[in-house]
Amino acid sequence: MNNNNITMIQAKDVYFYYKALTEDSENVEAINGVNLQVKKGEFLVLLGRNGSGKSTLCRLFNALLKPKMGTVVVNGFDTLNEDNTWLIRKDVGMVFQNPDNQIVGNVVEEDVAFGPENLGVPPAEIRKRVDQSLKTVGMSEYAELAPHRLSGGQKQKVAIAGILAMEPECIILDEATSMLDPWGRKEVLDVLLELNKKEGITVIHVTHHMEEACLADRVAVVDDGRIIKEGSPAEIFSDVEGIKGMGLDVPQVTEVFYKLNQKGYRFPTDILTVEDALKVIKEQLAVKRIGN
Amino acid sequence: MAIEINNLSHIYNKETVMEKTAVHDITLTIQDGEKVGIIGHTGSGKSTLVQHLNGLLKPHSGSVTVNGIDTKSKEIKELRKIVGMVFQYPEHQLFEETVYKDIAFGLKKQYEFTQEEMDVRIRAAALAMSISDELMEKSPFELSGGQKRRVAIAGVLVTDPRILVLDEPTAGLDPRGRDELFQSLEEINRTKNTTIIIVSHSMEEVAGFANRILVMNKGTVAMDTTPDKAFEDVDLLESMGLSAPQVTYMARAISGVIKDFPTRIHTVEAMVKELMKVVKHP
Ligand SMILES: Nc1ncnc2c1ncn2[C@@H]1O[C@H](COP(=O)(O)OP(=O)(O)OP(=O)(O)O)[C@@H](O)[C@H]1O
Ligand SMILES: Nc1ncnc2c1ncn2[C@@H]1O[C@H](COP(=O)(O)OP(=O)(O)O)[C@@H](O)[C@H]1O
Ligand SMILES: [Mg+2]
Ligand SMILES: [Mg+2]
Repeated sequence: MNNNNITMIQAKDVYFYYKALTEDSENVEAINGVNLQVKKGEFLVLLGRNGSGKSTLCRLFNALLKPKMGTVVVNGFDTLNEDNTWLIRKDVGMVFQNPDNQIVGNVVEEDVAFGPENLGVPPAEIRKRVDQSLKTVGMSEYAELAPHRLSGGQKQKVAIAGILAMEPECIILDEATSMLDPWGRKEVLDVLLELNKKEGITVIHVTHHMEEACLADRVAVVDDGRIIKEGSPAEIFSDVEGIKGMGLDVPQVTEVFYKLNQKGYRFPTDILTVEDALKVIKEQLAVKRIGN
Repeated sequence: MAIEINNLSHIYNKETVMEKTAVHDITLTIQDGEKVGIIGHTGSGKSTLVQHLNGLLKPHSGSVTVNGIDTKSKEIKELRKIVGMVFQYPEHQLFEETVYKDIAFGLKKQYEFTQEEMDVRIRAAALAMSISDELMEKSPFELSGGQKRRVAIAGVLVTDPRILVLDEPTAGLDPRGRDELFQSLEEINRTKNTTIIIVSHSMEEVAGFANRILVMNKGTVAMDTTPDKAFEDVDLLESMGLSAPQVTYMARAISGVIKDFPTRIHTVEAMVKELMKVVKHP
């Protein structure tokens, strides 16, 4: 599906602070002038160091928080207008950093049904969606268990299933894969990519794993409440020093070629994956053969 | 002095329909000053195993002895002084009014220190986790996810235990935070000979730090080896739900086009070195 030029989320000059808890402490300025357009059907990754404002931005995107200045418009609805909150939450589903803040049901399948129930989805349809989403995240066999008996990664998968069952147009994952093992992460990422490519679901994914960022259409780097860099994964990661200077990292493969280039080689700077690497190595070999 | 685990088994919900053997017949010894990485897929029994080290869980059969103390004995207080534990969800351990007081909490409970001595230790632990002075006066509820995790780790570092156990401490840390944590652990181990046991999903992450790797699979220790050896059989690792570093996969791909290219590469530095041998310098 190609929705390429329609806006899903538009943030304009957004400022946000958390109110001080006591009179003698200061407000916490978390977002300091963000402008960002997220297009429908886009897969956007947010990177940034701890405390840079990623989670705050996500909460502003689904109207959990309201800007103190500027506007956030979701699918045409301004988050500042209370009447829109419901419509926005229906369009934008969010999976939180800590699954314990999200899980409400006493049984896994109840928990997954909670979202669609609130949306007024008919019971038969709910049943179908619950079964399907648990299957999608590979948690069907846990449907009747109590969520508190699950491991951290399994809870995250249930939280993701709960959002899938609501069938939102846009899914925000705030470090929702942080406790999964490598295969669990890959499974979830594959699901998201498929929803994104086949059904045009917009995905906003916050992660500290650089290989996950390479799967995005676009990466935005958040620092001190601002978006300080934006571009394709290749554009972002080709600036190895800049990225490391921000407390972030690049994929190992990118670093290998960066180090070779420092030693005088002239490899491209936008090599992100094993496939990319193999391609340039093959090209090198071809040149060598002709040269000989 | 050491950790001795003999024929340890642990079963959750024993004698119910939900019965689950989480750890089965594990026997191993960990010496003072070792740096051990415990890796394994979700549910392989890592957390269950390490929670036996400070007596939080008790063996259903077998025994765990730490510096001569049987974890089933009454000396739990002494045991908890020796074994400092950062849990998988350390955020749940935060409850004081300020970050400073939260880090101080463990000290107050266990030791008799002067105010100044405490302050020095608290600031050192905060520094090790890059917690700024500004953050120290905030409420833990005002922190981001990664900041909370830093505070929780500092709260255990401050007690200066002989044995430090960290259960997936890097989830939620940004890349620099991850590097700094490992640097701090390295330093603590080098200067104080503290035993460090770190649980992780990621082989890549612990391989550079640990001198011994325990790979857990389905409640047992499937491999007890060095980082180098652990990477030798990538297929075996994968069959246990783990994966190798990206450069290892890169080495495998290259060996398909360059004859005899080594496939046992697991660091960026090693890959750079090998490539320089085969790719013509400009
Ligand atoms: N509930 C809150 N009350 C007050 N301040 C907060 C609250 N939540 C976050 N902050 C502050 O707002 C800033 C941005 O935090 P945010 O949670 O958005 O960061 P983040 O980029 O998601 O970090 P992480 O990678 O650690 O999850 C930080 O300075 C943080 O301390
Ligand atoms: N409190 C508990 N009650 C019941 N089963 C549990 C509990 N904690 C863990 N388990 C089960 O024990 C096994 C091992 O879990 P755990 O030690 O948490 O693994 P890991 O830390 O390697 O992810 C899993 O099958 C898990 O579901
Ligand atoms: Mg966050
Ligand atoms: Mg665990």
